[in-house]
Amino acid sequence: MERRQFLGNQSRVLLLAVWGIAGLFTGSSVGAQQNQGAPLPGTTEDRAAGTDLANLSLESLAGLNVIVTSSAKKAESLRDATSAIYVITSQDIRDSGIQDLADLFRMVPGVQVVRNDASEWGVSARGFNAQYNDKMLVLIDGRSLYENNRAGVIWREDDLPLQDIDRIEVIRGPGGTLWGSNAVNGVINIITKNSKVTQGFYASAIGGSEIYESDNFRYGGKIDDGWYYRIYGKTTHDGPLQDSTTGGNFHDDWNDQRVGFRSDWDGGKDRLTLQGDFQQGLFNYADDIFNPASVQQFTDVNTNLDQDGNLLARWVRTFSDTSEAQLQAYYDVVHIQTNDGQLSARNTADVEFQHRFPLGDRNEITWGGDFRNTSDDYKATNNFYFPPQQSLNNYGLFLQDKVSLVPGRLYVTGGAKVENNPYTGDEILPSGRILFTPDENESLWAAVSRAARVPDRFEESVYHYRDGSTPPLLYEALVPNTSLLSEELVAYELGYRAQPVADASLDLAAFYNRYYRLISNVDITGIQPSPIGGQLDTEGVWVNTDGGAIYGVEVSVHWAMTSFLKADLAYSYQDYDAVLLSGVTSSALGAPPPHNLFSGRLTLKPLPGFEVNGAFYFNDTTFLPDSNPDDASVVQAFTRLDLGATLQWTSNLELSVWGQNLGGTHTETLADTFPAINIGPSVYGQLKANY
Amino acid sequence: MSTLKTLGFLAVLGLTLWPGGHASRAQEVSEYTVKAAYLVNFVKFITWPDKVYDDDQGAIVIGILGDDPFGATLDDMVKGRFIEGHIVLVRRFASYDETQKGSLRKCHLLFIAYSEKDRLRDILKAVQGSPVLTVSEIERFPLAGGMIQFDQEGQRITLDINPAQAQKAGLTLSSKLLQIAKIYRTE
Repeated sequence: MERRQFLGNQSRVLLLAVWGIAGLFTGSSVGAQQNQGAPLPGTTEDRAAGTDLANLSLESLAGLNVIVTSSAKKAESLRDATSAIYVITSQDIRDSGIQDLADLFRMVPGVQVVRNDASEWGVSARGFNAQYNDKMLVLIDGRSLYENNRAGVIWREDDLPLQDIDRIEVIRGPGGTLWGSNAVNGVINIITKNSKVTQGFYASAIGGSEIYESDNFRYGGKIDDGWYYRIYGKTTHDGPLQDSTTGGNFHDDWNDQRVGFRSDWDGGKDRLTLQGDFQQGLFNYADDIFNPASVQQFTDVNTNLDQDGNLLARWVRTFSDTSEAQLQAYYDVVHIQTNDGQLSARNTADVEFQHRFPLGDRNEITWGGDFRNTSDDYKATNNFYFPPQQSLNNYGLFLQDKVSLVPGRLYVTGGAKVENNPYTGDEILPSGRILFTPDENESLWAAVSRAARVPDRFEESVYHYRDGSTPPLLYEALVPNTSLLSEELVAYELGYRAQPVADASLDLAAFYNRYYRLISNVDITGIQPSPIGGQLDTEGVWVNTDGGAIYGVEVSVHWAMTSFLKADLAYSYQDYDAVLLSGVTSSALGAPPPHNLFSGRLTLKPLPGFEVNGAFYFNDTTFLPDSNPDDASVVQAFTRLDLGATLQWTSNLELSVWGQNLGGTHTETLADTFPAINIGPSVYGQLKANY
Repeated sequence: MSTLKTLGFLAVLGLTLWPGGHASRAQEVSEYTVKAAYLVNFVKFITWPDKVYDDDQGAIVIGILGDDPFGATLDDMVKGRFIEGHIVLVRRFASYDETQKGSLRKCHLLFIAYSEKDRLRDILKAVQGSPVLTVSEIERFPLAGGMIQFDQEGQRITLDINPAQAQKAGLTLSSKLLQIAKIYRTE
């Protein structure tokens, strides 16, 4: 079985390589004859073509197919942003060669991405990275991916086609005033393309040694004037990766299929969007299984079936250039079937309203409200006992005022969100921000804000059985706590942005984050009744522990040196109080940030239609906290080097070959109790076609 | 199973898209080359009130406000040629500032770059009442008080036009231009 797959991989890679070489020859000769390559703006060829274009009729211009670049949108309102925001454009995604959504964030300053296995990642800004990172809020077109059972984002559930992403706005720092609780260390907003710009056919196929296979298909059509749609399908087969201790198979294959649609109607003042996805995935992982019947723990390969679906509708009405209202509702279902046949379900229904309008000459008001119901039916698995069926409501209201003290120069923004959740009641999440733009190329901003991470269902109500002792009915378990308070953050931020010349920009941010009442588990002992019968020996309990501080600086530079050379650099230095490393019982808290994170990306376009991309990432040593500092696990520093070549063979066909992790093999993990994965060099080829 | 499937998929893709297979494939250029060509073309399909040719020896002035996405492409298009009997000059302005108000009002055609998104209201106010054709790629530009927006449908650049705004500024848009555009009407 394994051998056959291995041969399959090789033949596929070989085939793509042959295609690539064939493409270099045929592509260049065809280009010379017919001048059909896709010239880059500013190149001689394009400028010559442009002079001819100026003579074309309007009708001919309207009929031209263009190569769309999103470079102009990179700077979108960044000058006036009062938070540490970084925008990943669709061009950045294409130029990175990255195929897994979570891996994209490696390019963002101050953001750490760690892969746990083929289908799981931890993504965090400014510390506390974990497989379930409870302090980052992630949204796709306004739909939250944060699940409040095991507080965090399960990246495999939203393996959306990357070519449909318009841009990703990554905000480091709290966003509670607009987004509510759990937007503590950052907010990631993934925005997909309007179906108007994804018209026609698109297909792509990937074959490789690590990303075993990924196929994409999309069709976009027009229903009526101003009314468009697209449908898509995607399959991914990723892994298995290598076990870092045994060198063998990590048993983490991931097979995923997805279909979805988006439809947009633009009636001028009113716009409607309806979109949905359905995903089905099989993912494997090796885990320590506790069997209550035999009171024994053993390691086994779990195969879980994961089925998710969501449907979202949004209505936006524009009253004027400064006034707009939006109403959005979605329904999201997740079903997970574990290998013992148990089916667990989670349903989320969410309605949100937002309105922005000017008040007098100086004030811009934004206000809104939301309601969310999360109902679940989790079945007890071998390791976990969940109380049956819960239905929880969250609701909130927010108000924000942006005041221009000196128009065009000095702005002050103040606001707060008041939110109610079933675990801790009301949370107030205020923030105050100030923006100073001394001239048109520079801006300075500062902010103070409070954010809260609400206890999750796991900490509130789940028994985690770990070991059996003294049969027949005495178990060791981590027990929940119903009187937890929210974790709190007070964040102080400072930022500077400059664009000294049109083609270069600099972004600097500094932060001091003071955390209070962080939730972790502490050792306690004591015998108490077990919800699955018998007695349990308490091993640990979730409590609000100490706090601590994390602080650092982040810098990013973008430089389009010439029309054929572009560079992006990102660097962060972060440090933290010792208490975050040793004052808690386990890695439940998440890892403090690595001191140094670096990413450098270079795009070179030596010839029209041909480009070479390179990316280098450095992740410093990461310490995983432990009550006994001697036991603290260390994830060694690692680097990642990706190199790729892309050929725009014809205007409809693009071919690329990528080598990933070319620097060598390294270990990535954020869990201190399981074996980890090794990530080694891999290659893949991709063919993209569109009509 | 998947190897065969992928091979088949690639084969189908290859056969349908092989370069020689389609003789009638449209010419393809970069987005901003086409947008620059549109800007130059607008000069032919818009009538300005006569008096505005006073300065610059009767030249037509195209202003680019904010981060210029065109580069030398636009300069090459207008260099050394007469369009409708006028020479065309390209002027570039840094990000909007109130001190630019006078110069902006002297442009015949003003392209407002994406970088000016948050200052759009002030910019449109600054040129209000002057015969300046405002063009931008900022979303919902015709509804925000602008005249022509570059939009995108699939891989084509389309135009969204608010003729009432142009009329208010004393500009006459040719029906040919309106025919290929999506028309926005605001009260």
